[in-house]
Amino acid sequence: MKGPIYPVIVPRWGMTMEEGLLVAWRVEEGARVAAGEELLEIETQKIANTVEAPQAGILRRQVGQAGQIYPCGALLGVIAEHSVPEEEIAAFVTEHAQAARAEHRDLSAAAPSKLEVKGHVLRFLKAGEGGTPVLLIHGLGGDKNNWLFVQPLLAQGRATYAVDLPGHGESSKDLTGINSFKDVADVLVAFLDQLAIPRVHLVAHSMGAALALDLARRYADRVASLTLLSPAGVGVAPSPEFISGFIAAKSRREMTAVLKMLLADERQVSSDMVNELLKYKRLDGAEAALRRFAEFLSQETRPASEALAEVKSKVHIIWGTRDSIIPPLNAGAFSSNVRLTLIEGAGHMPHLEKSARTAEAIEAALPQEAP
Amino acid sequence: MSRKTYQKALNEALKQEMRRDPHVIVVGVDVAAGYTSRAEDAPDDQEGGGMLGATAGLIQEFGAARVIETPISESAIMGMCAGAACTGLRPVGELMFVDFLGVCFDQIFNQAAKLRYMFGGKAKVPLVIRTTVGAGLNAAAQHSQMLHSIFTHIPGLKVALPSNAYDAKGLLINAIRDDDPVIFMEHKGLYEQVDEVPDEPYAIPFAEANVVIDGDDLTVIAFSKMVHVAQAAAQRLEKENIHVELLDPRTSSPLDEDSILESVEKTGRVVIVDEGNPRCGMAADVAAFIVNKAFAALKAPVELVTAPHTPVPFSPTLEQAYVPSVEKVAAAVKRTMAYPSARA
Repeated sequence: MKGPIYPVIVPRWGMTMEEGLLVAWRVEEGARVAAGEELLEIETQKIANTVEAPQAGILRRQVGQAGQIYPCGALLGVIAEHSVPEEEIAAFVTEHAQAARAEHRDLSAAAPSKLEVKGHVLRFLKAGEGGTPVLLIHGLGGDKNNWLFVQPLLAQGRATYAVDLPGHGESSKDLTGINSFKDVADVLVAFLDQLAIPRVHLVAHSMGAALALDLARRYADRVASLTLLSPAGVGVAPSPEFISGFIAAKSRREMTAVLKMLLADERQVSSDMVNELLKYKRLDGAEAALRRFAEFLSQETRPASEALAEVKSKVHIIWGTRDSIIPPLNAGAFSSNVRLTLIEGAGHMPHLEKSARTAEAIEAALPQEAP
Repeated sequence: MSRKTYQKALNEALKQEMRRDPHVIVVGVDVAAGYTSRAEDAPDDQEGGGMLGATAGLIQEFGAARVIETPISESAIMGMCAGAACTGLRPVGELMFVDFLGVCFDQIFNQAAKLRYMFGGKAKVPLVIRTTVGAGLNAAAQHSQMLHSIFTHIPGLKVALPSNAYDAKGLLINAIRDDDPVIFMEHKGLYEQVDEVPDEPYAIPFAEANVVIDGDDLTVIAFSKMVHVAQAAAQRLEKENIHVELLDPRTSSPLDEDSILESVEKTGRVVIVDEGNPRCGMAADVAAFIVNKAFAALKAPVELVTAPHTPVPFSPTLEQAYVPSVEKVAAAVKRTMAYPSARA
């Protein structure tokens, strides 16, 4: 074989997804693609999104056809260099189709679980096995589904846990006993204790980053590394218009207007996204919980140097260049041991907007472990 | 989150609100049916709880003081509920079929709907009247009507028409928490409908339409079970490259006028689907509103797909012909899309 061959498959976006409609290819067969480039559009009953190139190379085959429905894990395309002979590509298509499908099903068909921690019921989704686990922490108003596109990729090498913070998603909304990010971090540490997880790689988004920083400062021995996406708590205050607008939004119109601030490409604000958030916000206690978290967040006013000073683990910051909620700082704002990756063209949700590139950036900076 | 039927969603809403607020009571014929306090008399699998099981398990948990069985006396049920509501309770009265509400119009129209107004806001009537509507079950002319437009006509009443299990729970909770009388209309043909329904309580605000499908070509506005008929038509039309936007207003009073206008201004073409009779009906009402407020945006006449101006037939064949069908909706959409060239 003259170089590797990479499959392009139907991803599984959430546990209920069984199949997807290939709406259209964005790239011609035979074209050169960059890693993270949008290859094709997939639509399910609940969601529409693009599938990005897992690696750079030539799109040697378009196996999937537009207008057809394929099961999760089905082979849609093949990426390889010109140096790989045609017959190897053909053999790969035949052999890989079945294997990829079975493997992908095993990986992420798991249902979310619930666990009672210090009086709070937390919902979480585990995917993958082994290694030092990754704990994924969402931002204000988010939930485990924010990691829908990123978690399956990270789970290929290790156990991953995407958790709904107290007051969020399907975790309990009663915040009795929670009066600061410290208290939330304590709940997360107790969560790890109950699952007998000694150390984790923390991957946290926006408000979750401020929370993760507190956890990393006070429980240094529990944190193997810290990856912060579009982070709050490092000196840039999140847009107050967004936070107050998001908390106040009750109707579809109000929510749509607020979410347009969140993404770089406002056309990506789908009805499903709006509906899911409204469904969460209608739950008893959700709005009160959001107000409490926004209060905690408003207390995080330390500059980057101070916020990161007491963190002992490696820190990797990932930021969308077009984030208008927490506009990105440049590398000069951080000390030299902080790694900064900018995701070109992403807004405040790089893990949703540019998921393949974001997953790749997270993976690239995670310390390698002996298998 | 789990998948639940419309019936289970209604039952969960009642239980959760009764747990949250001791002022919530349930009143009606057979709301505790099948239940007996003498264990030896109780059939093993019988939880009780009404003709369709929406009140199952309530009598066991909340007792006879809050789950009140009544004789078949509709005006007494409604009068009692309206009075109880004025004193600070939050009654959920049940009348099995909307067709029987006619015998208690005075209690509803002249008492419940008027008291807050006539006492200058000093009285309030936080009352919910649950009832079933709709044809399709071969229940004949006296057990199959919609009648939602009659209640929509009366100022002082609110009218909810949940089209799926998620909305059934959220709208019923909102209705119970609302300080005005709400006519809550459950379509008999939707009780088995299954949807993702959160386990936690939640309230869906009134006058907040659900955009069931996004589209640019034409707006379909459908109520109650007709949302599903319109959805099937839209899926069929999608294959012919007609992209329908489907709106479910969820409540006919108050009506989400903003969402309707926003959609009509985008598409310029409208089909309204309603299982009610056409004269002075919901479809005519919405059509008049659109023509009045968005005339400049319209590219074609507003089409109405409704039941005919007849009683609901008992004959299964005729009943099928009576209820608006996927075919009729699809044909109306195509006529509207083709206007003016192919107008019949």
